Amino acid sequence: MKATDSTLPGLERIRAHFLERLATSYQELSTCVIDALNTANPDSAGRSLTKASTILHKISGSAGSLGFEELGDAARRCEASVLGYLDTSTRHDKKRLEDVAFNISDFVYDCIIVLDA
Amino acid sequence: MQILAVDDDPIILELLQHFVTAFGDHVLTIVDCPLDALDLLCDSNAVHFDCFLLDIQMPKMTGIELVEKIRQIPTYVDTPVLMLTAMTDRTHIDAAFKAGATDYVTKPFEVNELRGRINLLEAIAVSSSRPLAPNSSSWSAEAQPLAFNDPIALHDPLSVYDVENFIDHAAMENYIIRLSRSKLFGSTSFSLGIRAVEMLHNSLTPYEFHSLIADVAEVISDTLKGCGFLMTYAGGGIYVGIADCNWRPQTEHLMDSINIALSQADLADNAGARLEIRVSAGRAVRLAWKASDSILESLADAYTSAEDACQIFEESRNDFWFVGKTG
Repeated sequence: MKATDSTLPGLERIRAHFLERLATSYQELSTCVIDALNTANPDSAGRSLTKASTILHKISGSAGSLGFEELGDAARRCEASVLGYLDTSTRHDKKRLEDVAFNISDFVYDCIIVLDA
Repeated sequence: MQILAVDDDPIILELLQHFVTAFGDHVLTIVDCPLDALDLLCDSNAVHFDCFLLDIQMPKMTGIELVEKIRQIPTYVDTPVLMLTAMTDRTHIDAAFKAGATDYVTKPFEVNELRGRINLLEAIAVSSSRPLAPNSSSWSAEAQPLAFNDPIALHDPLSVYDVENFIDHAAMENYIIRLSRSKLFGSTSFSLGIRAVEMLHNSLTPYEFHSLIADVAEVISDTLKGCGFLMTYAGGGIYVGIADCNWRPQTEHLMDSINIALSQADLADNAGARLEIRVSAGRAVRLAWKASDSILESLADAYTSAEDACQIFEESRNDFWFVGKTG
């Protein structure tokens, strides 16, 4: 639904709650990335990225309904890249891990832009 | 309607409250934990819900597991369930329908789409007062509608429960409509029809006929175990199904296998008289090159194809010179 739908007043409150949560979520995502990159244990990195995928999943599921379509699409793409890494046998691939971390970092930047808007 | 929504995301629950309130005339109860939802459903003092909106990906219990649990509650075997999900891969969609979902809508919601789906579910909820097909393995006295021996029309679709890979007819239509053309690419429609079904319908009581439909469904499901498909009973003795791209039904072999299983199934009426039930198979049609708007027609074509196959078999029985399958 478009956030500007004038037949549905009251979405502003929900949008505000979404942005409040986004401010926390992007920091949690940053923590997940740092933890994943700073551990030598692939399983530990996997757990951090699983947590990141859950956060991204929630953002992608609601952002579009509140007028943040681009952010929602970005979250979905980022989630897909994380899941792609987690689903393969390349958890020991440092380069792939760095690529995923880079994608999440890009998304964190997108969140900051939305919050500063 | 009384609607129960279950999602671990408070933003989604707020959105649902906001949208459903805007639609008017529905009462929405929200729960953020599947286990709490089950407690609510089992509470005899709680309101009876007419419809469920369920997320798929939740901690402690997925929405798919929750649907399975809901379907085990006698008063909710037929209650419409709308899955709310960002999980659009076919694996999750198939699993949701197999578990008992009626329809699904993808997140993020488009408000008019959500409104339309809820309106459709309301129509299903109203019509679901029709008798249910029993399943011998799980039917309980408390779940059996009092009006079960009321006559049913031969061509009424009946719901078959607790049979693996079988879904409600309304759910099958929604499944075909919602899956994108790309996800259905490589799938195959197929169908089976009970021979001489009119005679059976006329000679059996409604309960016996219901039981027969469920029993044949169970035989089909057991025979095709391991194959990737969804199937529904579409009325008129016809079962229509969609096989995924990993299985391509071979019509002759399919019919023979199921007829062998039926001959070994010891089907009987309430008086214990053996019922010799056999099926004919309709054409198996690949959906690869179908336009989106004609994919739903493939269900109707499959239905007609099985009907025709049954008719041809009946005609051949009286044709002395016919050389063909005696099945």
